[in-house]
Amino acid sequence: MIDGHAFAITAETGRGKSTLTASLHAAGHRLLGDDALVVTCDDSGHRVRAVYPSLRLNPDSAAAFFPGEEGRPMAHYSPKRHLPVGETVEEAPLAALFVLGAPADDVSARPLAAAEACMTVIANSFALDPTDKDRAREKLVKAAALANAVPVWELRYPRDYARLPDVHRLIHKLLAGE
Amino acid sequence: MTDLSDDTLLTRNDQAIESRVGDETVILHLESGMYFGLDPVGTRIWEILAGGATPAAIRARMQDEFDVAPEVLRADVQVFLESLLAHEIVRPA
Repeated sequence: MIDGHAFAITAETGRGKSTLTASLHAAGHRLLGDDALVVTCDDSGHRVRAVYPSLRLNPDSAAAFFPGEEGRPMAHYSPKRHLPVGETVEEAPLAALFVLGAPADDVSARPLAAAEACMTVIANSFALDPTDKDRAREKLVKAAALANAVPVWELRYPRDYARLPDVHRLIHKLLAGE
Repeated sequence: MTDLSDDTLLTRNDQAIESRVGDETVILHLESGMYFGLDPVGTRIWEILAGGATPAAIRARMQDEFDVAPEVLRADVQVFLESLLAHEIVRPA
């Protein structure tokens, strides 16, 4: 969360979701979690809550943002480690969704077109049974509602720890509507 | 694949469900599980196809509504409809 606005970050594996999340948390922003989010919608709008509060980083990112913290192993198949999370937020209104694009030389953001935003939400959501047509139909309706209600941005930036504050500033501006 | 002539009547496949997102559309083909995104122009063609339409009729409607050279319109509509056919989003009636 930044300035009371909760936002979600999604991307292909390895694009830096956990690193960006950790850098924001290390900068003092409250964390929901770096795993899955549950998105709900009611009369007050879309809200998000983390499946569980977590922060899992590869050793290099852990050393960059939490020096001296060893953490504990995440799983035998991954070098990532669980780091202790500070103050967390259980649930909050969803203000934006950020999709991490391919690395770039500069920090920039592009609003996703409506259909692209909807399909991005679908592509980054779970389906326990992809063959369940009723669930698929429901997911399309909910993803469209989310894309209609919440701005979706693609963020592109250099994968350089020194540039992450620039990414933070851009996220601040976008959430503030600038 | 079906040859697409000017008079081929095309109808929406009932396995293709849609959801509007702003001025665009996302279509889900329930059988294949594939999703397709339509921009505003594609969305308009999809609307015209609601009651069934031929390529010639679609081009005529689009020519009325959009300022575009006829030969460009013909080529773009043909490619778009052939894609919908290939993915079984529409079917010949």
